[in-house]
Formats: sequence, C-alpha cells, structure tokens
Amino acid sequence: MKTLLVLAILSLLASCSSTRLERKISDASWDLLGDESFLRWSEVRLQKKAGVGPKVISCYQGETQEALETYRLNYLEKQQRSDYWLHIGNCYFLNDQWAKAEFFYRLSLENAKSNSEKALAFNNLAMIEFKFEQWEKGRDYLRQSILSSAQFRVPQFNLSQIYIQFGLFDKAIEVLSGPLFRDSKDVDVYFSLANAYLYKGDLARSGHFFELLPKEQFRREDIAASYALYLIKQNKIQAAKTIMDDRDRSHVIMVTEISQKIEKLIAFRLKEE
Amino acid sequence: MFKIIFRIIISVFINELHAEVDRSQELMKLITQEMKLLEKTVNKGPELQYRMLELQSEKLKLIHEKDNQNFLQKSKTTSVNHSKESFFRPTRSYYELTKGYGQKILKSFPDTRRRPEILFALALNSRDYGKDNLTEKYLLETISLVKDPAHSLRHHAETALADFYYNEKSYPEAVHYYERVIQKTQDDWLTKHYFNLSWCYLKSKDFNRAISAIKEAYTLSKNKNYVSVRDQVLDNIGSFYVYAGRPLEGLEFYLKNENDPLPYLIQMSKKTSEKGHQTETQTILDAAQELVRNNKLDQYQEELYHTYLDFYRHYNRFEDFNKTSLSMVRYYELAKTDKKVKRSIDLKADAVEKVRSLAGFLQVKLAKNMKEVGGSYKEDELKLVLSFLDQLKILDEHKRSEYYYFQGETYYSVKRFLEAAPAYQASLREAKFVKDLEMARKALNSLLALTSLEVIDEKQNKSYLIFAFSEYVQLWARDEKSELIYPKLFEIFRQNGQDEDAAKVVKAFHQAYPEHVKEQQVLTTKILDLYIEKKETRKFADWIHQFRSGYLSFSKDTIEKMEITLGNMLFLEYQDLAKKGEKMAAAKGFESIYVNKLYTNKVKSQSAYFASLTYLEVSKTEESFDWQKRAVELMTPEERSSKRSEQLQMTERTYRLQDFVTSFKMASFFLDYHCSQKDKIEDRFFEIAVMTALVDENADGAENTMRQNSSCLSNQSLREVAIEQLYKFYERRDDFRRLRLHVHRYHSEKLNAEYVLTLQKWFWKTTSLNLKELISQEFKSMKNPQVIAWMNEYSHFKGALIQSDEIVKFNYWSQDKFDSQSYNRSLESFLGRLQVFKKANENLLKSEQWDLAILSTKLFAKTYQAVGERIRTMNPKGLDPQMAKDFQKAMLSLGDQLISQASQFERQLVKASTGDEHFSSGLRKIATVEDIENPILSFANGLTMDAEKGE
Repeated sequence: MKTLLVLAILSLLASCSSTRLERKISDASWDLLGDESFLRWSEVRLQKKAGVGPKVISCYQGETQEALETYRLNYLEKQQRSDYWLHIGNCYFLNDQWAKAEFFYRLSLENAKSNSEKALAFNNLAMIEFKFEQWEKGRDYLRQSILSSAQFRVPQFNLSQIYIQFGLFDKAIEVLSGPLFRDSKDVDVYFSLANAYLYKGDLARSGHFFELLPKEQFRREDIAASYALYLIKQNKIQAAKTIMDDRDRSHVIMVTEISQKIEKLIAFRLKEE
Repeated sequence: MFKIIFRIIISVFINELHAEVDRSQELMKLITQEMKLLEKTVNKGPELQYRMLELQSEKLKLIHEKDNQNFLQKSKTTSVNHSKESFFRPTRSYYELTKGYGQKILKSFPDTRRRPEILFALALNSRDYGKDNLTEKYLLETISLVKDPAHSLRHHAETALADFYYNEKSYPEAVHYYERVIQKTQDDWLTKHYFNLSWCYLKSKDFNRAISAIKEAYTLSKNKNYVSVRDQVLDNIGSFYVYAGRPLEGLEFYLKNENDPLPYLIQMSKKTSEKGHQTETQTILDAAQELVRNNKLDQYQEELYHTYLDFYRHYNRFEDFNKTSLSMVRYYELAKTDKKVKRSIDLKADAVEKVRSLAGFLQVKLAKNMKEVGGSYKEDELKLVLSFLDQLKILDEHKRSEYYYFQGETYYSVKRFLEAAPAYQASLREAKFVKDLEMARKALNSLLALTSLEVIDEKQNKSYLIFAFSEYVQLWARDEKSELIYPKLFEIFRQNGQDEDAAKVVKAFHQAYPEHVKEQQVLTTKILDLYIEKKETRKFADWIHQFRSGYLSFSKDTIEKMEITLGNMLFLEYQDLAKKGEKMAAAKGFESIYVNKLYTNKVKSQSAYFASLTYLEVSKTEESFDWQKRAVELMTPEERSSKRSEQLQMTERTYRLQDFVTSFKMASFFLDYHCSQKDKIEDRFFEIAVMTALVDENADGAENTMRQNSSCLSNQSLREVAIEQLYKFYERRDDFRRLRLHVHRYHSEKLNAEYVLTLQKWFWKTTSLNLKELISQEFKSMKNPQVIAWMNEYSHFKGALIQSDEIVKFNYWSQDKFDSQSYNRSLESFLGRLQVFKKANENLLKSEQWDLAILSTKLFAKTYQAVGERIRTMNPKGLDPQMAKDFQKAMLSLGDQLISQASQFERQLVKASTGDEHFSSGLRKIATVEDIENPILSFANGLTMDAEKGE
C-alpha cells in the first residue's frame, strides 16, 4: 500500500513537470510558422483541420495511439513516402518518445525524394538532438535543413533559439531579421528578438519588440519571465511582479527555476525600494 | 463303459459261434458214434446201409455247412470268388463218397424196398452238394418207382422236381409237376406251390392262370394250415397284372385287399410305367398320392415323389416333373423345419440327381438349339431349367454357388446377358460363403468373359467389371490374372472419379506386389492428380502421412513436392481471401489448417508461415511473430535456412510498423536460431536487435544482444557500432552509472577518449555536487595526463575563486584618518593582489576546457568589476573637501579602468564563443540578465516541422 502511494505521488509529480512549453496560438495571423509546423496551433485551429488534414493532426489533439494505429494500417500504401514517416515521428515526438521519433525521422530522411523533404527531416532530427541537449549536433542538423531548402522559416527560427539560449544574440537577431521573417508578425519571432535585444543589453529595441506582442502572450511563462527581466532593467519592479503573478505556469522545470529566481529578484528589489 | 459294452457284444457273439460250432460238433459226434456202431455190424443188410446213407447225408450236410462257414468267413477278408470251389472240396469229396455208397447199396440190393428213398436221397444230395446234374434223373427214377400218387415220397419227389424245373426255367415241365403237387392239399407248402406255379404261368405268358394261381396263393395264405406267402404275393401280383395288361385291376386288388397298399402301388406304378402304360401309371400314382394325403401316410411321400419324377421323366413330361419337384422341394424343406411329422429324406441325394439331371439335359438342349443357324430357344424350357436350378439351390444348398453359376451359364447360352451377370455375381457370393475357390474362379471368369463382350449397357457393364475385378483381386491377391487386373481396375475407378476406390486398389496392389512399386507410384500420382482436381485436401494429406511413414517408398523430394502442392491447394482459398482484402479471415483460415491434426508438419509449418505473413500485412505484428515461431518450430533446418531473408524482411517491417518490442524479439529469435551461420543476414539481425532495443529504451536488451550474440556476427565491426550506439544512448540520458559500466565493460582507446569528453561536458553542466564528485573520482582513476591537467586546472580555478573572493571582500582602506601615503600603499597593495590574482590565474582564461575558460573569464570580469567598483566608490574618512574632489576623480578613473577591463573580458568571451559557436553550459551562464539565465530554452522552444501546409 505504501509502495503504491509513493508511486502515485511520483506519478503526480511527473505529470506536473514537462519539457514542452505550451505556446498555442489561436490567431493564425500571429503564426508565421503555421504553414510549416502544427506545433503552435490552438485546438480550434487543429479542429478545423481535423479530418481534412493529415492524421498527424490527431496526435496534436492528444489522440496519439489512434493516429499511430492508422499509420500502421496505411503502411503498405505509404511506406515509400517521407511525410508518412515524418508524421509518425511527430506523433512519437508529441508523446515524448524521442528515440522512436528520431527513428522515424531517419526513415523520413531515407525516403525523402526532394530537398524540401530532407529539410523537414533534418529539422526534426535537430529537435531530437535538442531534447537530449546535443546542441552542436542539433545545430548541424538545422544547418543541413537550411542547406537542403532555404525556403523554410522553422529551421531558421530553431537556429535562432539555440543562439539566444547560448548568448549568441547577434546571430539570433541576424537570423530573425532575415528576409523570411521581415514584414511578418509572429509571437515567437517577436519574443525572440525582444529577448535577444534584452540579453544583449539593448533595452530600447527589446522594448520595441515586447510592445509588438499581443498582450495575452505575456501570460506565457517564458515570455513573462523575459519581459519581467526587461521591466526590472527598466526599474519597473511592480510591473514585473504583476507580469510574473499573471503568468501561466509552464511546468517546464528550467523555466520554472528561472521564474523563481526572477520572483526572488523582484521580491529583493521591492524590499530595497 | 464303451469297452465294457464291446466286450459283452464280443462275448455274446463268440458264445453264439461257439454254440453253433458246439451243436455241429455234437451232431457230428453223434453221427460218427452211430456210424461206428453200424460199421461194427458184420452183415449189414439194406436197412442198416440205408441208415448209414442217411447218416452220411447228414454228415455231408454238416461238412457242407462247415465249408460254407469257412468260405463265408474267408470272403469277409479276401476275394474268394475264383477259389470258391477249393473251399468246398471236403463237401465234394464226401458227396462222392456218399453218392458211391448209395449207388453201392442200389447195386448190392437192386430190389430193396428202400430203393426209392435211396434214389431220393441221392437226388437231393446231388442237387444240394454235387455238380453232377443227377438230380432230375434220380427224382424221375424215384417217381417212377412210387406208383401211388398220394404217397408222400412221390409228392416230395414231384415237388422237388417241379422246383428243379422252375429253377432251370423249364416252365412247362414245372407247370406239369406243380399242377400235380397242388393236388395234395394237405401239404403245408401248398401256398408256395401255387405262388411258384403262378410264376410258371406268367413266364409261359399264361397271364390269366398266373393271376388266378397267385390270387389262390394269396387266399390260401390266409389259412393258418399253410405257410403264408402273402408278402411274396403282394410284392408280385401287381407286376402280374401289369404283365397281363390289366394294371388297374392290380390297383383295385391292392386297394381292396391291403390296408397299407402304398409300397405295392408304388412298386406296381413303376412296373406299369416301364411297360408303357402311361395313363394307368398316372392313375395308380394319383391313387397312391390320394391315399397318402387322405391317410397322412407321410412315410411314403418321398418315395412317391420320386416315382412321380421317374414317371414324368420317362415320358418327358417336364412341366409335370417341375410341379412335382417343386412340391418335393417343399417337402424336403418341411422335413427340415417341421420335426413334428416324421418325413423321410433318404432319397434326397437321389432327388438332387434327378432334378440336376433333367436341368442339365434341358440346359444342353437350350445351348444346342441356340447354336444352330438362326438358333432360338423355348422360353418354357428356359424357365424350367431356371426353376430346377432354383430348386437345386434348396435341395443341395452346399452347391448353391454351382447352381447360380449354371443359371448364369444358362442365361448366357440363350444370350440373356443382363440376367447372366447377376447370376454369376450370386454364384461368386455363394462360393465365397462356402469357400469354394474353384467355383468362385469359374464365376468370375464367366463374368469377365461376359463383360468383355460389351453386350450390356456400358454403365452396367462397367459396374460388373468393377465387381469382377474387385472380387478377383480380393480372392487372389497375388495371381497371374490379378497382376494384370490391379492397374485396369484402378483405371476404371480413376476414370469414374472414385478416388477412394482407386486408392484402395493401389494399396492392395502394393500389398500383393511390392516389387511393382514404381508402377504403383505412377498410379498413386494419378490419384493425387484427382485429389488436386477435386480439391480433396484431407485425402491428399492422409496420403502424404502414409508416404511419410514409408508407404510406396516415395523419395523425400517427391514427398516434399507433394506437401508443397497440398499446401498450395490448402492455401489457395485463403490466399484468395487475402487478395480480396479479407486478410483477417485469411489468417484465421491459415490457423485452421495449422491446428488440423490431419496435415503434416510441413503443411502446418507453411500454414503458420502464411498466417504470420497475413497478420503482418494487417499490421498485427505480435500475432505475426507468434505464428512465425510456430512455423519455424516445424520447419526442417533447410527450410529455416531458406526463409531467413524473408524473415529478415518481416522483422524489418515489424519495426517499421512501430512495433520495436516484437521486432527485437524476432531479431533475437532468429539471431539465436541461426547463430552458426555467421553471415550478412545474422549481421543484420544483430543490428536490428540492438537498434530496436535502444529505440524502445531497452538498454538491457541491447546489452544482452551484445553479450550473447556478438559471436553470430560475420562482421565484428558491427559489435563496435553497437557499443557506440549504447554509449550514445547512455550519454544522451546522462546516465553516468551505466555509461561508466559500459565503458569499463567494452574498454577501448576510442571509447575512453570519448568518455573523457563526455565526463568533462557533464562535469561542467551538472549542478549536482555529488555527480561532480563522482566524475572527479572517475577522472582521478583514469590517470590520464590530459585529465590530470584538467583536474589541476579545475583545482587552480577553485583557488582562483577563493582568491577572487578574498580580493572582492578585501577592504584596503578603513582608517579613520586619511593619510595619502598610507592610502596609496594600501591601494597599491590591493591592486598588487589583483595583479597577483591575474598573473596566477590568467592561464585559466586560455584553458582548453571551454567551460573553465568561460568561468575563469567570468571570474576575472567579476573580480575586476568588483575591484573597480570598490576603488570607484572609495570615500575615505577624514579627507578634506578640496582633496576629496581630486581623490574621487582619480579613484573614478582608476575604477572605471578596471570595470572597463572587466567588460573587455566579457566581450572577448562573447566574441570567442560567437566565432566557434560553442554551446557550453558555461556560456549559457554568462549570457544572463541580472545573473538570471535566459528563459528561452531551445529544447522547449524548438519547432518540429510537418509536411503539410497550414490554413
């Protein structure tokens, strides 16, 4: 009984933590990358696509097993298609089964008949490497993806993320300021630029991009945390606290830790004041 | 008990014999005594001598009796006809002596009054014991000497003479003396004399007198004064009437005078028939039959039927014969079944013969008539023959087969073939019943001859041919004819589609002629063709089982081909289902074949294999593997080997169907099974096993494959690849414990080099002091100069941290009174510390350990920043205002220089990292705002791509 209880608690804790940051975008006009990835599609958008789009939509809607079963049944018909394997990989990816996802991404790559298809597979393989914190390998895949087909925004966006994470802000800004992103609006692109400028120390440009973001996006924990730091830098401690207080918890451990540090900092600054 | 009875019988017989012998001896003794007595008389007169003749005649009689006895005795054991006379020599000898003695008396005493007696004695002795034909002579002399017709001697002599003539067939002479003899009515034998006289009349064709005389003999026999000759009369009077041409009077006589006339009527009817009186015979027989019927004289019925049959046969009245014989058959049947009435069956054999004879006669006649040009036959005659043969089947039931056969032959002879065939069949059945093989052979030969004529409807003809052939080989399994029949019979069955019968023929053929196995194999192949045509898989399978157990000595290859054919037959149906898309139904079908005990292992194996393939087609990977295992279990080593490529493809398909667990099991299973092959297929199974295990996060599975199956590899480099894969697996999961174990287990220079780098990365990344400590210990244990250098650098860095901390915390001026010289010395000392720090630790900024270099740079920047800030903000007590301005200006300048230096450290770092794109955790730690790392986490923010356009 005691063992069961412990297991139950562990299970609850496990369900509380995640590696996935929820950043669903309901307004498609704010999803510049929506044509390339369903990952940020809100349920309403997914619902509209369900039934007419690929089966992988079901995986984004949480019906992973059913979708995978359908793919199994379509094997003979679609086994030669790169997108078939790519979508299976995505289902496993969404289910946090990285090894399997990687396996099927590799099959997607093997069956790719065009550079575009290769680009997709490379990008997704990069995401697997990211999950295992194999940053250089991930970056290399992204480079291969971009080399295979430069038309896609997602690999570039992903590259910018790793640049930002590891302090290569100029590189990130360069990527996200490129022609593919120019004159377009996207929540994560704006946020990334705001963040890059913030960490680079250019508060003005950072503030510019934060201002472009729709207000509801500040509930996203990573955006909230970053914006809170921006506000702290602007000595707007109370505003930073409000932002942090209003955020939605992501349950991504590392983001949660950062949030906690920011909250401590805010508390300290408020105390100083 | 039996012995006792036997002894009693023997003793009685011996006693009687002894009694006879004793009596004869006694008489002989008495005669001899009297003769001796008479011989002693000196002057013997005619009376004494006549007495002596009488004694000699008596003795002659005894001698004859004895001779006769010896003769009869001897004739019981040997043939004595030719030597009969030799037995009677004593008789003949003594007769001559007696005759001589009598003639001597007659010569010595010519006038003696005893002369007639002596002559009569000589006549009787001559008649009874002599061969000299003197009887008539002596009797006539006797009669001539006795003048008185009433004299008894004369009557005896005349009677003897009448009998003599009667015996000598001199009937008129006999009539003459009998007519005299019958005059003496006192004679007890008068009846006999009348009877003899009647016969003499009859022989003289004086029928009226004959009938009168015999009737007188019958009448006188009723008188007790006379010897009765009633029986003799009754026996003969019927014939007398027949001879007289008045048989119906004879019938009347019997009916009138006898209570039980049947025997005489039967007898008389025969005679009547013989003499051509057909109508009268019929009358007599009908009268007899009526008597039998009315008086229930069943004891005569049998004989009466026979008499009828003889009569009808005699006059060719076959229809009547048939009617009677039918009645007779019923009679014999009743005799058998109804024991209440005693019915004679003594003449049954004769009855058979009579009916059989007539049947044969008519049968020959029918055949003869048919053989004539434009021949035909009479339907009535055919019916009769068949009827007689039917009767014979009852009368002579042990030969029923024969009679059926005769019926067949009869039908055949009149070209009624359709009826002949069943008769032959019946004949065979009966012959088999009584185990009369010869008869059976005859019946079958006739049936075969009949079928060869092809005169019966083709279908029926074939059925008879099958019957004949089947019976033939059944009765004579190994026989010259059977040897030829087996293939023919087989062919008929085969053409008829009677596969089971055809198969039985082959079996029988093989049993009888194992030496013809090649021919039997050919025949069997034809049956199998039949099975294939009719899709008779069950039977086909049954045969293969038999072949497998050695039947017909088919080669292993041939049996395997048959099994493949059977499999194809069996699987065709389910393969069609699968083609139509009903794959689950198809799979279940294959399963049903597998579970059926009827089929051989090869077929089962194939069915299981097909089930496995079908399940895989519907993505039922677990079921597929389950059936694959069953298939493999039943395969021969060769089959297993031949399937490996296909099984490899199935294993690959299984993981491509996302079932890594089953694919791993399959790969491991086949890897084990064919380990000794050590070829590319084994290599690939090995790769799959490791790969699927790792994809399924089953590191233990991959490890086990490594340990247990590396020996199966033809290409050992794959083992190295697997080691690397496992390494990567543990590394990706930050699993220090298992990675360490892995590296120690599969120790290699390359692995160690990689291991060092991994540990180094982890060392800088981890926030766990425990893990840091573990890695440190691992580094120490390696005794690697580079690692030692790293560890020294790290120790150095820790010293730098302390130094930095001391510098940062160091308060270089705290005096209450400001003294510029003293302050300058303190400041110099403070900056000297910084200089010492720099000199002592600046090599850390160029460390190969990127993270250490980053952290060291950060430490430098932090220290310089702190020192700069401290100097910049220094506000000593006791400083005059004028001096204070200059002092602060100087300190600000100095502090800013140091802070600028700090910024330069950071810029250098960023520049360096941008160029090399080193994504170390250290880098992440310096790219902070307010010492807080960036919340943008690439692993969380990265986007996967979908190959589909959005809205």
